[in-house]
Amino acid sequence: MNRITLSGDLERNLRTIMARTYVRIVGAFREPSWLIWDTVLPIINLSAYVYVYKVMNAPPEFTGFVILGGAMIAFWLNVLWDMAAQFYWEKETGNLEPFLIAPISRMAMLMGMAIGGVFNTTIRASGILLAGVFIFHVTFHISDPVAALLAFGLTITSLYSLGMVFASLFLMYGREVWHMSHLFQEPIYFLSGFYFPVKFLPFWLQVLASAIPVTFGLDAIRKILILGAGLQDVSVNIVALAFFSLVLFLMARWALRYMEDMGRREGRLTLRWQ
Amino acid sequence: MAVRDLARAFKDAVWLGWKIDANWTEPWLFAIYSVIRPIAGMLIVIYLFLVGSQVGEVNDPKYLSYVFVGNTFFILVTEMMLSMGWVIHEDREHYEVLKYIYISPVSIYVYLLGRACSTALIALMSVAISLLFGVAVLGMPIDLLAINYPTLALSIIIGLVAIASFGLILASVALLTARHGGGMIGQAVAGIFYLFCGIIFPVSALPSWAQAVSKVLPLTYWMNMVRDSMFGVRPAEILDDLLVLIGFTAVFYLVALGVLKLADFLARDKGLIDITTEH
Repeated sequence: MNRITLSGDLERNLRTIMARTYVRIVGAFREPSWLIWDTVLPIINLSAYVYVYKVMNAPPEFTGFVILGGAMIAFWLNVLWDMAAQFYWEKETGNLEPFLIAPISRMAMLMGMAIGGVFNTTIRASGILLAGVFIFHVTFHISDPVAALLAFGLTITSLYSLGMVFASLFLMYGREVWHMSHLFQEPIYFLSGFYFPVKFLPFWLQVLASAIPVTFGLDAIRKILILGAGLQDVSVNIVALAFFSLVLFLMARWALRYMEDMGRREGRLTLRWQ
Repeated sequence: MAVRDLARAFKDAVWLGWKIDANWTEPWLFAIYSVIRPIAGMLIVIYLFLVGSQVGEVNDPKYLSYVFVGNTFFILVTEMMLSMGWVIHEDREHYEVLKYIYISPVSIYVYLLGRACSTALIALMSVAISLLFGVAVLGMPIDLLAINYPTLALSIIIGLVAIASFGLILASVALLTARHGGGMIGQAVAGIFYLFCGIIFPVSALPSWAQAVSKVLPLTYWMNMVRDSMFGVRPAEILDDLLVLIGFTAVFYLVALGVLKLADFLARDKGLIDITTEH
């Protein structure tokens, strides 16, 4: 019998991450139709918002705001549906039981999904950004690549940690959380300023928006890539994102344990079609 | 199949759709959930207008009404596209009942139309509440007494047939494709109409090739009719749009039936009726 050791645990969880990442990436490319739905068609929807700004003679950087917001929406949707709601699907298709029986960390499994998801979604987001450059002639500044990478990395870390918190809810609940995920689409697009800077919102809405990590992330990335800002200009955003990443990661760890325990007690871990 | 059987299958599909959409929570909570998303969507375009008018050179209240009406009625399109793009995946892979529907004496076509009808009824409630919210709370410049309600009702009925036709095409595609990506297809196709049909900006702002596309989409004429009805235009003035809308709707409906028949055959032929797709 294998002894349980720290290095053994680490190795097993790293293998879990790799395995889940592999499934996500290879699975996605086995059915390439998503490239059309996820890459080509979203730009059409975004174009409508670009045209509103054009009709109103808004400055060209506002076109860039819409395109960048559309690219970040790809990550937000991936967090909501391919990360958080994935446990729901695993439960429905009967995969959750083997996952829970296996001697692996739930976070390792979710991290694998996240890495695979980030890979797939980066393709989608890149398609949107390239379309923005070639169709709408958006100019992106990469004068401070370190700041851009730091802001993007921290935004992704905080978003996917938040996704893990949401995922924990699916261990206990079903359609209630599914509908909650629906609810986190347009209201978050509005509050977090996916199509316009949040400074245009009333103060109390800005306060509410500051509780959402993507608000800080999007603001920082927008300032760096569209307005040419540097690390110093977005230092507050970076600190806020680092804080969100840490807190949400710890919260996810706690929530996954708590909700799994509650699911076990109430017999909901294997409850399908709830 | 007798007409009575068809009617019963349709009614049951509507009822099932309503149950699936609504019975996960208390009715009041469902009502809140049903209007929060459309209202947030409305706030996005209203803020696009407000931000645009602050940083741009145009500040026309008529354009605000234009944007508000277009976006509010577009809820019907979004919800039906989302629902019809997802219903096959949901029944096939989530509830795993698609194969049972197929072997029951119910036509898949009637079943899908029933599910579309259920979504349309819920979406109509969202439209009504969003309109009232926009006028009463946000002060949108719409005169509720000036609306031409008969032409509005007519345009909604014909428009729903056109939207359901596109929904049937989406469901047909879903019969042949995997679940991942399935959640996006409805939203993505709705985006095409959002851009080309003059929903939140005039079609004249598009390049000429895109204006040509908008001319063959029935929802362009539907949106014109809805907007004219909302602003109290007389029936005689919307006759052209009405005739073109009816013509295009009939064409797309027949195309949708053909596409569904083909997809149905291919799905059976390739053994896709009960596939599950994981990633």
